[in-house]
Amino acid sequence: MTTISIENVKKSFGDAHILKSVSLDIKHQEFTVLLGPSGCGKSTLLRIIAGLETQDTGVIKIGDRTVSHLPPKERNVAMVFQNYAVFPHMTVFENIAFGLRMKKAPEQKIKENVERTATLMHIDHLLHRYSGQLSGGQRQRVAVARALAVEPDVLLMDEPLSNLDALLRLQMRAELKAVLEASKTTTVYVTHDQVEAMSLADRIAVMNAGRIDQYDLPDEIYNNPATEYVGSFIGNPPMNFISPTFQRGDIPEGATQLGIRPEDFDVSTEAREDYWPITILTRERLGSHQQLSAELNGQLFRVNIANEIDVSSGNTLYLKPKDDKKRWYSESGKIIL
Amino acid sequence: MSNLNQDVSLEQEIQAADNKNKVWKWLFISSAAFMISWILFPIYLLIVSALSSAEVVNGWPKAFVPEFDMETLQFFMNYYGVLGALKNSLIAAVFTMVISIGLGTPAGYALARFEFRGKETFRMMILLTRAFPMPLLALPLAVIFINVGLDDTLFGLSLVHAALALPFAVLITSSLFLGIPVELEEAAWVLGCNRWQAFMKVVMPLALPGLTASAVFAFVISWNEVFAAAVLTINNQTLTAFLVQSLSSSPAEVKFAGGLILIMPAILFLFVVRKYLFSMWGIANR
Ligand SMILES: Nc1ncnc2c1ncn2[C@@H]1O[C@H](COP(=O)(O)OP(=O)(O)O)[C@@H](O)[C@H]1O
Ligand SMILES: [Mg+2]
Repeated sequence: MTTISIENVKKSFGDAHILKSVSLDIKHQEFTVLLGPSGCGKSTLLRIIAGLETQDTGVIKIGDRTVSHLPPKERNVAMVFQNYAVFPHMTVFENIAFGLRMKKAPEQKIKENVERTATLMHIDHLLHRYSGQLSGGQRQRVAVARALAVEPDVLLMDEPLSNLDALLRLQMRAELKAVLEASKTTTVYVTHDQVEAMSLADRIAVMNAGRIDQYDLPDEIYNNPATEYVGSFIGNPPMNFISPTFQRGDIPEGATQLGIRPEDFDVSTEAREDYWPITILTRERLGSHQQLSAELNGQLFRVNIANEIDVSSGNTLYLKPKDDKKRWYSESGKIIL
Repeated sequence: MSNLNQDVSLEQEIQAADNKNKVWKWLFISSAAFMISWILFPIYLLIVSALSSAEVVNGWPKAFVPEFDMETLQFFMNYYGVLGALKNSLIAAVFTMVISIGLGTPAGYALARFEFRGKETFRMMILLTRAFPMPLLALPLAVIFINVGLDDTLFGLSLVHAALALPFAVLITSSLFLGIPVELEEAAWVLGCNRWQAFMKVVMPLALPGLTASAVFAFVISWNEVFAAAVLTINNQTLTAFLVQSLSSSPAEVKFAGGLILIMPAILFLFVVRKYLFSMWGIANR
């Protein structure tokens, strides 16, 4: 059973508190994505799991082994770096074999594993090349094959796709998903790209300035953001947060903000009871639907509506948030259940 | 019509830009030629004179092509003490190379990879060691060496030469290690290396060409150094010290021969490692 348990990990660089008490329990064979904006401490957390940084306080366990103070090589993890870190003075074969050679695996096993992972990553025809003779995408494949070849307990990836161009990234994303689903290795994957996170993850941990705001299934993260921050980070456009002073009906105790996704409104072109009259500021046609920026009592928000509704900027439209989609947030930005 | 006019003025503009380019090109080539001859002409004279007989060296007009008279060189090589001095120079240079690479590499690695208090000061101090001219240091050093019994030893001299070469070794190796992404090392750690193994298996092979170049650089610094060698050695003179003392009264052609022997290793070595010197100074294509 390869679980990862992170308890109260804190890390500062000088005066900067980068990780402020992070706790996370990652389940056996799950693919966890650490998602958050640049600089929120994702890489730092990943490097602490790998042993490349040491936490100031807190405990890291892999399985039931406490690894908090073990050097990287004793943690049985593998890591894929953003810039691939393929050794330039070794052939692709030697790169992939490197970890097994360090573990003094028998030659037969080395050969088998290298060939298996190279075939898996579609680089079996490149085994005798050097990294200088490879494209960025091919180097990426070598880096993943090298990580898989050692059959690690835990696979760690730090924005592995972010240096690829857009098209290649989509293709690699799909391939990675298939490969990792098959390998069933417990994986922690860092990205700032919410689409990547939603598409790859079994479970997403949303990080916000050194804390984990929510750790949950992708659908839960989307439908029930635990904090205003999560709601406004995920979704394109993100969740609307509206002060509910004009909202009729019951407002839960302590709620100061109503969170509602742009697609979760009932729309009417005529005034109706309980519908908000909104003024349309801009309208964008996006093919599958149209997106409106609208205003109500000085509050701005976005709405997605069906193509059939014919409106233009300056018009008034009547909206009612769907009751089962409303989420309420307290003064401190936390969801009220 | 106006269209045509525009075309004409465009053409003139292109012409003008072309001319400007030509002027720059000409300036570039001529100043490059000047700098090259600045270096090469004395070397050329040295070679011609060293390979000519005494009459030609002292006569006029000078020969343009050497007559390849080996007599002077042979005479020089057989000159009493030259071979011994040559050997001493070699030994001192090798010692210098070993000391400055042995100490400079770890220091360069530390500068490149670790954050520590006073790092910038340390970097400055390294450069400062070159601020004191050798003539100022040589006499006090001689006194100290006599006191500790290092006087007139090649090892003692190598220590001084290593002090001259170390700043370069440290700064060059540190920029060498800076150029090797730290992720390569980290990848090696995660894949099962300790720090030392990762250094030997990943950093070292990548740094080796540059390290060789900086070793050769240390060698050449020692080989070329005169002042400390002349003051600190008496019986174990290096070639430079020997030449300074014994050749001041020798005939010109012998001086030239000595000069040639002196500059040959430096030129050869620099030629061999020029690619790496360029790349570690960031000049050439990598
Ligand atoms: N070794 C370090 N020394 C000082 N500051 C660091 C170091 N590593 C990371 N940081 C700082 O910690 C913050 C978080 O970094 P990181 O974990 O890389 O963020 P992310 O991966 O989420 O973009 C950044 O502000 C970064 O500058
Ligand atoms: Mg990062």
